[in-house]
Order: sequence, then C-alpha cells, then structure tokens
Amino acid sequence: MWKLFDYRDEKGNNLIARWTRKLQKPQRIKLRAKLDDLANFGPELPPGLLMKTEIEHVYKLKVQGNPKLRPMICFGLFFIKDVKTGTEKREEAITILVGAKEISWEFEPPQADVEAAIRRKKILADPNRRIPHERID
Amino acid sequence: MSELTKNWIREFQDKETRHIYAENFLNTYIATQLKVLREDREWTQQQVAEETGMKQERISVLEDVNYESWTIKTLKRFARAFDLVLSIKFENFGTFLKDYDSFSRDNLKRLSFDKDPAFHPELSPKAVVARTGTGKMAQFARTVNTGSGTAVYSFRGDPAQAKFNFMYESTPTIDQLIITHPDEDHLTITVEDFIEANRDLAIAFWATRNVEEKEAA
Repeated sequence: MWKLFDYRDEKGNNLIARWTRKLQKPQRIKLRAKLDDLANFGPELPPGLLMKTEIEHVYKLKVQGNPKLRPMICFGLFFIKDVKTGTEKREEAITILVGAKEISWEFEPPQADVEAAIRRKKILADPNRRIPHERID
Repeated sequence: MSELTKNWIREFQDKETRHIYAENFLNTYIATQLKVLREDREWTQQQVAEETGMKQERISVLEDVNYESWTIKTLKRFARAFDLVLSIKFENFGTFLKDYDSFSRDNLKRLSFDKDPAFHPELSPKAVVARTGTGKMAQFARTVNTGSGTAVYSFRGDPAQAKFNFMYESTPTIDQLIITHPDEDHLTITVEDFIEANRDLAIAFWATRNVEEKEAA
C-alpha cells in the first residue's frame, strides 16, 4: 500500500484539495478511483496509469474524460528506517504536486510539470510542505 | 475491514460513484491482465499482434488502463490467442470488493489449455502436506485442485500453527493458497510468500495422496 500526500503552500493551504473541489463530480470520482488504484496496486502493475513528463522525477497521472486530468506526481522523497533491521529504504509514497489538465496536448496550468519540479524541491527542503492526501467526495 | 473499504461503503451509496469505480476497475483489470498474460508467456506485443491478427500499435493501445472502448469481439480474439476461456458475467458490487482486494500479478495469470491440469491430469501440481509431529493437524489436511491454479487447504486447529503444517513443493502452476479455518477469516497468501515464510523449517513431507491413503487405511 503506497502512501499518498498532497502539496501545500507556505500558508498551509492544500492546493491539491482546492483544485480537486473545483472539478465536476464525474471527474472528481474518476480521479479518486485512479488514486486508489495507484495507492493499492503501486505504479508498476497497471500499465499506462502513469506517464513520464519531460521533467526529471515528475510523472503525470492519466485520468481520461473531458477534460483529461493530468495531476503531476513524484515518488517518495524520503528514506525511512526499518525498525527491525535498522536499514533505511526509500518510502513507498507518492506526492501529488500540481493539479493539472491536458487540453490539446498542452497542460493547464501551463508548464505544470516545471512547477511540479519546483514544488518537489520545496518539499525536499521542508517536509511539512506535504500532508497526507485529503480524500475529496 | 480496511480504511478503503469503509470509505467505499459510504461513497458507493451514490450510484454514479460506484459505476464510475466499476468501469474504471474493469478497464484496469482487462488491460493489466492482457499485459500479464503476454509477459507470462514471454511474448512481445508483436507476437500478440500476430496471434490476434491486429497491429502491434493496437496491442499497445489496448494494454493501457485508460482504454475504455472494449468490445466482446476484441476480447474473444485475445482469448483465442492466449488459448483461454473468455468469461463475461454480471456481478453484484460485493464482487468488486473481492476482486479489487485480490488484484495482483499472480492472480491475473491463467494457464493456456495445453497447460491446464483440468485437461491434462499429468500436469497436476504435486501438493505436499507437511507434518511437524503434531499429526493431529495433518489428519485434517486436504487438498483441492480446482484446476484453475488455486489450491485450497482446510484444517482445524490453531490457525497460527497452520503455516508449520502445510507446505508446497515448487508448484509454478499454483498461484495462491487459501487457508481456511472455521472460526477465522480466510487467509490468502501467494505460494512464494508461503514457501519463503517456511523455508527454514526442516520438516518431513508426505504426498497428499499418501496421507489420504494412510488415513483411508
């Protein structure tokens, strides 16, 4: 089971939850279903769930529909210690960095992948810039 | 009950929600199983294309969880290519929970006809029952070869002891063990995990058939 996190801004606002609430209901449900798949099955098994972007470490989650949702995500940013063995391993975590759509092969907002990389670095510098994913009805 | 199941019990009261989830999982299931079946046979997409009479590019499109326009005709072509039965049924939503929970690479694999022990008894997996000295446990052991790659063991006794009493030889055609107990929930684990958990146990084995013969005697 992978842990999901949302990006939040310097004021503590969950920008992913805010973006999700603005979506139409069918798209919100589709997004939630894909995120459940991602958390439960991991990124490897279901083919086509994620796609690389042109930016290193940034992937887009593919959610079909009109419009096509393409939230930008990255994989676990931190190492966790196994209390039994004392060894460290990369956490099985996925952080949603930017809520985005893809319209005519362009991201909305523009350069969502670039912004995702910037936010990823902010989280690396301050782990409090991510919080456990908020499930939106 | 998992947190996710609790969420779904609440969220699925809404009809639109549950049907979007069901359709999403159907697409995920089919696309993933097509890929798993292909990889399990060590086929390339080009080989699948030749077997189905489609183009490789088309196979690539279909092996994608976002593909939504399945037709029975297309699925039948894959069933024939993989030499499998296509099963299409209407199910209640409780089935969705079970299928989602058991979704894994191992559980998506299926044997083509020429490897199906139901039609080739000589290929039946050799199940082996282990005894640790507590013969009491073994006498309740039994194996059911369902022919679909699943072995079912039933026993009575302490479920915590179960893993010490049952073990498999290398059985590549069996995907999972379902260990049942009258007072406990079913415990389902993969054969690999089961063997891994028991690897360090030095215990004697009897072929199930022999155990049953002895018990009958």
